[in-house]
Amino acid sequence: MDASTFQLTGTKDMQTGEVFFPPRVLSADGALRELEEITLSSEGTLYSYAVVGDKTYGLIDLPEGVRLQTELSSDEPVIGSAYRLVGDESGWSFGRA
Amino acid sequence: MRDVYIAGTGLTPFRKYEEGSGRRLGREAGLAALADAGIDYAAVEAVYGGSAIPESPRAIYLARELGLTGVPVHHVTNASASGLAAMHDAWVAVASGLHDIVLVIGYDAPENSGNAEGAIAAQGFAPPVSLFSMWANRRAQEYGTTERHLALVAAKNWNYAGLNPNALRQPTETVTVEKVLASRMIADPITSMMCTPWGDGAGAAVLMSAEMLERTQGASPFVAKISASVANSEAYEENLILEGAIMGSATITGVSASAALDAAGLGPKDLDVVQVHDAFAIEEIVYSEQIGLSNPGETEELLERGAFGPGSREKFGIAEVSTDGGLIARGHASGGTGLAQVHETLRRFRVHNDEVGLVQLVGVGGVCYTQVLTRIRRK
Repeated sequence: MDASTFQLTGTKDMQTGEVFFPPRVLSADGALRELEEITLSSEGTLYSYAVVGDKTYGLIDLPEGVRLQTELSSDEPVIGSAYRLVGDESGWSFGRA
Repeated sequence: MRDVYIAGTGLTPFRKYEEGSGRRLGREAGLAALADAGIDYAAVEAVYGGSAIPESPRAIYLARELGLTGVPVHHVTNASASGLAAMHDAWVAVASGLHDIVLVIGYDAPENSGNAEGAIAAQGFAPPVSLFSMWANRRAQEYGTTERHLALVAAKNWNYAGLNPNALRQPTETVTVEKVLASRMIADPITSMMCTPWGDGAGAAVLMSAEMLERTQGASPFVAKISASVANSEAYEENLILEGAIMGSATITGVSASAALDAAGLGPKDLDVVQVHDAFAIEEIVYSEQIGLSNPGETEELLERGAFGPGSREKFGIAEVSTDGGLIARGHASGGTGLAQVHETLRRFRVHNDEVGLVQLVGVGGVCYTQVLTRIRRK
């Protein structure tokens, strides 16, 4: 899979609609329903960020209701801006869309 | 459940001790707590030790320092919250009727190289400070929180530590907001003086049933009743962060504190003194609101007016927070921290006339423990 088509995989609870990343095997409510794998949106909104040394970390809100933690590949992060997944299975981050 | 009392506490100074100090620190804290409670180790029916760092000795080795009496010794571990986790399990043991006198030792002091920050970082891909920098940057957007507000929290806690000989940080003069802001930038807007220095140390507490409290004579007429003890972990909510060594949401503290206050039949305005997990200054602002000391978004203005510091109760009707310096300045000896919070609450009951206290700790994963303590006079 090349970088342009790489997407993250999460899981979805088909009863509640809840989506998880990293993917969970079983539902969050303790009822032990098996969840289904779904492909996550590659674009989300920056909820917040942190600059630590030469690295920038971000929290990205995806439309599925997932808030994921990631490195940011763009400088000068802007909360509320659109960010897009970049990379492949060996390493990925989010950059300004 | 039966009523449970804290009959005595002890604490070592929080410092950077040489490797292999854990057993001695546990012994010193244990001896101090037993003396405060007015009993010897032969009276202890069980020991609960709490530590977070894998390189710290297991609880049995600390208990053995005090005696070889054959009692059950439990080792409890739950990250930063390990000390209050041990307090909670010990509370269950006495409340249930299983035991009448239990010794709790909370500590961390590695036997060889190892530290809390490294242990947390190894569970995720980002250093602990990054999450709290994210909290601060988000809050700046939502409520206009500035680095100055974070510095107000840190300066308050540093100056409390200046009055606490057990604190790791010992400022020689009053710490100003400007000095905090001028310290090294760690993760904007968080500077080094807004972060815990970590550290090593041990604290201990003796828990008793009402019957044993009546049959013993401690060092002080004032002891504490554990009016509530609540343990919880994160429940699913939308946008809960799930990967890495993190707190997925701040609401875990609100759920815990609300349950503890309800169980105690009290509200946040009844609290005189509060200790929270202020490893980074933004946490104290967020947890103060989660506990209900202030309304969301009002905390910054209250800080500017001097609330949460000395005299806060009298001037604002709001509890003083982190009165021993908190994690920021007393230090964070991981498992030792919960017992330092309990020790400080008892100290305030004895020398400051406070009557109701709350202690709160979170641990990455995330877990939370809250206890509500009320002052009791021995009969």
